[in-house]
Amino acid sequence: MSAPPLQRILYVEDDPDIRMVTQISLELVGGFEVLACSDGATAIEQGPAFAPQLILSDVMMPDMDGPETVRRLRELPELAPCPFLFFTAKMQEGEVAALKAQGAAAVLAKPFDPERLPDQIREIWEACHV
Amino acid sequence: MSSTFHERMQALRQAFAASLDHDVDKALRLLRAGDRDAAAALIHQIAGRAGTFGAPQVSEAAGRIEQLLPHGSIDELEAAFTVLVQASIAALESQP
Repeated sequence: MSAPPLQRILYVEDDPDIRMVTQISLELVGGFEVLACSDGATAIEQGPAFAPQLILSDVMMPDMDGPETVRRLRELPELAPCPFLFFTAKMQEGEVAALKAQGAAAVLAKPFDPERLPDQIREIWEACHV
Repeated sequence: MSSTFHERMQALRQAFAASLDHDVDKALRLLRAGDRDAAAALIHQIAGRAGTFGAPQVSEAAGRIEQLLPHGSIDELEAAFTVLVQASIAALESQP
């Protein structure tokens, strides 16, 4: 089965600078449509109307962390089928394994190369549809 | 690669560099005032941004402080901040 083209990405990150870098990488380099949210509550509120195909979330955030945000997003029927990825600066084996055990399609290391990020995400998207 | 992308990255990088000094100073003041949680939140931001904006020594020095903050002694932390301040100065001097 070949993957449908990836167009819409829901992205959650609390740091405004990193959010901006990732957003311009995904939009200007990758050509994706991005809904960038500063916290999980906003993502849960705005996510369904945006109808994302993929969810990308930071792990360490105040109030609602990444794993909790994704868990609650995927309880929404519109978002349940979305593959999800995490960004983390703490790439210890135990943490990566825990995120994968939650069902993450991939765990991406921060810092990342904004020129390469869109290709990485496309590869992961295609691997989800093999 | 679109020139807009590079222009916008450059503007963000400059804004990061412009605020670095102030942010490191603020984190140190929070530490000295005993507010380690607030210092940790700010240091975590600095570490992440520095990595993203191509200042790995700053990111590493901030990461070291982040590890020390929960239980490190004030002397260890002051020393780690000295390393961070030096890394920040070097990063600002190499700024294009």
